[in-house]
Amino acid sequence: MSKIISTHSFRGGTGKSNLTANLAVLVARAGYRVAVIDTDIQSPGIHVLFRLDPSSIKHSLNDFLWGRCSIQAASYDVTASAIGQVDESTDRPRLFLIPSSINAGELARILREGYDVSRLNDGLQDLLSQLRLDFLFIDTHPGVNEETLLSIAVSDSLVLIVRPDQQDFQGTAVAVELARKLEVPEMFLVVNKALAGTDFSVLKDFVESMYRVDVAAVLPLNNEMVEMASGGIFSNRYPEHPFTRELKRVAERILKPVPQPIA
Amino acid sequence: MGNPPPSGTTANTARGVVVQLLSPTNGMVLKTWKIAGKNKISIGRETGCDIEVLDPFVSRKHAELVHNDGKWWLVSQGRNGILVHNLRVEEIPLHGEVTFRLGSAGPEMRFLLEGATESNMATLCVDTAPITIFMVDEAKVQNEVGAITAREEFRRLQEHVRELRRKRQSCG
Repeated sequence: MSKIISTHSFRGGTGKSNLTANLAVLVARAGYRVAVIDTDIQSPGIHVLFRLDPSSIKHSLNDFLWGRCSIQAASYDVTASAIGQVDESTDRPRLFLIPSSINAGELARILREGYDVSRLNDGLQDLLSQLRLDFLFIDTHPGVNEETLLSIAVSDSLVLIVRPDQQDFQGTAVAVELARKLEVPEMFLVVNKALAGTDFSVLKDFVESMYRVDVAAVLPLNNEMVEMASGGIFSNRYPEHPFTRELKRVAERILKPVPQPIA
Repeated sequence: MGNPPPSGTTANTARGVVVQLLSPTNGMVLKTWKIAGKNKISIGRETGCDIEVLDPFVSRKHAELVHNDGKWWLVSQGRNGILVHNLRVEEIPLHGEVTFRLGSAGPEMRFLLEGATESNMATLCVDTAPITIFMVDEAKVQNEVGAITAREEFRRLQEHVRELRRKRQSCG
């Protein structure tokens, strides 16, 4: 069965899109069909990490939401740029991206009119079947608006990104409670941008006891990531970096089957 | 340097080498290449280089490691040059561990002969500095969650998702 993973943070600037892109690449590299959908429609950007040229984006998620195209028409095969050339005769691994529009008019329309979230849900389900996906990553919009709640709700697994920051901690507590009420089958936290000098194991224990949720990784504030300035996929460029090694642990966790409720 | 530029055409088998890409901020190892059975190893930005370094300050064909007369040489190929101890070099014999930079603003690399101690292996740096304790206002959390979950839309979403999960599970 395919698996839907939402990566979410209560506030912006947590590194959510970067983590989403890197996790998707690591999971695809394990030999799977993976897609990433950018539902952060109000501030899209993950296409930059996959080096998808904006001029080559004929249709975006916005077009699908306005009924102008199918969801498949808004999906782009980024396998070559994300994980390199693969054997054309096999259908795995593959990586697809469904970008949001960076057109200013489209952004304004979303902010002004919103969109029908049930159509987004239909699109997610269609993606799973039409692209024969093993894993679908949803890069959510920060906060807890209606579309974000839908993304969380339909997920098999929720990855919550939190920084060691007072406002992040408070907001994450809200997101955790909402995910519990939406009965998301699996949830874990990733602490990102932990400062040097922090005892990571103490921070992990502290966060786990605070939220009663497993911490899959504590990731250091990453100077090399900052220097890359969204210029590609970090784990491709620095495959042996401690940050990448920790990310691989998160990816391994995502690869495990979702715990099923007891009937 | 006293020796002619290495040719890389000698038939003797070279000892394997280890080349590491180092972090510009703290010198830790970001990537390692272990190469054996070659007398010439290319370094550059171009796909197909033995050591491919994707950095804007690295030339497509930036440098070569060449084994000649029983020792390894580092030879500059690109116009951005190689720096050893902040001095630009065209070619230099490598006697054991040598750190060099690809271009004046490019990444730092380390050369080692295979089997030599690989120092400064990458690890997460952890010390015992006290953690800042963050707090969650539980009452505020419950208020915010209550306000969201009390809405009719949230209840509909809960029901819709339960139904969706049942369908997906029945489909396998």
